[in-house]
Amino acid sequence: MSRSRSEDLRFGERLALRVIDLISTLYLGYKPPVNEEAFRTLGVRGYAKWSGATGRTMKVLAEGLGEAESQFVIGFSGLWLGCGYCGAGHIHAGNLIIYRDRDALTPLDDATLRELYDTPDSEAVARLHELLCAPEHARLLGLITRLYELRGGAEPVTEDDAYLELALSCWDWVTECTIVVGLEIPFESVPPLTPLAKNRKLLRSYAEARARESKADTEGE
Amino acid sequence: MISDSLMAGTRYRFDRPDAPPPVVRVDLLESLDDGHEAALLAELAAATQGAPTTVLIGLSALTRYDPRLRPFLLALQAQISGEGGRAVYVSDRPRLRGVALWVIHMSEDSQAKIVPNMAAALEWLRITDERVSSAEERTLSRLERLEGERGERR
Repeated sequence: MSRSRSEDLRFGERLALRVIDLISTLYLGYKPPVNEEAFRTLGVRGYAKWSGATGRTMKVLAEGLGEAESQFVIGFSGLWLGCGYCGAGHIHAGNLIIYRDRDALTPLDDATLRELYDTPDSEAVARLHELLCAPEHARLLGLITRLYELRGGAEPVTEDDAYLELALSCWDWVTECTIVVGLEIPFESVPPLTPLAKNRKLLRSYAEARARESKADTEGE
Repeated sequence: MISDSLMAGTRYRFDRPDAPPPVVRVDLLESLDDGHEAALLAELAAATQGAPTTVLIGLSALTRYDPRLRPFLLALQAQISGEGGRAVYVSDRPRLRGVALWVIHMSEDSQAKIVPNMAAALEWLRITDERVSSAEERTLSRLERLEGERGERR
């Protein structure tokens, strides 16, 4: 780590942080709660390298795996490492993209993610097979279960594996700072960690669809 | 590699290796109370005798997250790093890996590591790496390769 996180931010670092918070707010629609920790841990230059590489990684993954799929892969990379902020936020983004483009909801809602957060790896893969058994989720299931296999020590073989390995190493780096908020944060309170967070109409419509789904599930019991 | 139980606590298990490198293994079996926490820290101090020691901390037997775990692991980590040792945390559950990550991040210990199973822990014992810079190097290398390949296809 390039600076000691326990040291107070210096004047120049505080100034740079305010600029980054402003840019983040304009780009994402909210101020990420992890910027300050990243500055404290990595310093200004380290932050620039960290956030720049993260942005490039998200772009490469979206191009290589698909926009929605890349968000689920990133989300599960973060969740596996124990960061609820990354897990809930990126999976929320993946869910929004699928809802926007296919008018569909995945089984990966916040309650299910909370369950997976406490599930041992050996049982998680079987649970994912149960959850994502519908044919339309086959691609997603394949990517996420392969992510678990690579985490467990499997050797990368396919072209997809190269993208999954990039997601895993990048989120090893990212969660080093996001974990300060990622352990206790309620999953429901995490916004989608992409500019989709600015699309209030989509967010409202998605929340209503989830509420209708929940009501239908309750009435069906 | 790891054997010779020194003491079988009801809530944790404490072992030492039968051969170098110096490794102590502590498995938490359930939530610890104040007495068990103090006993474990004392047992570790007695085992390491102030020498830099690798400590393998097994969390996989814990089936749920107890908020007491965080401050205890912080104290355990401080004791290990204070003696110049390094720690590897083993957990098969995401939330407990998150607890361990929070602890090593707050402790600013760049040598500590979190792995999902014992095989990965034993593999890690054979190498020396710096966690954050290793993640950075792997990311930048993979990113450049994939960006290059995508650029060539266009």
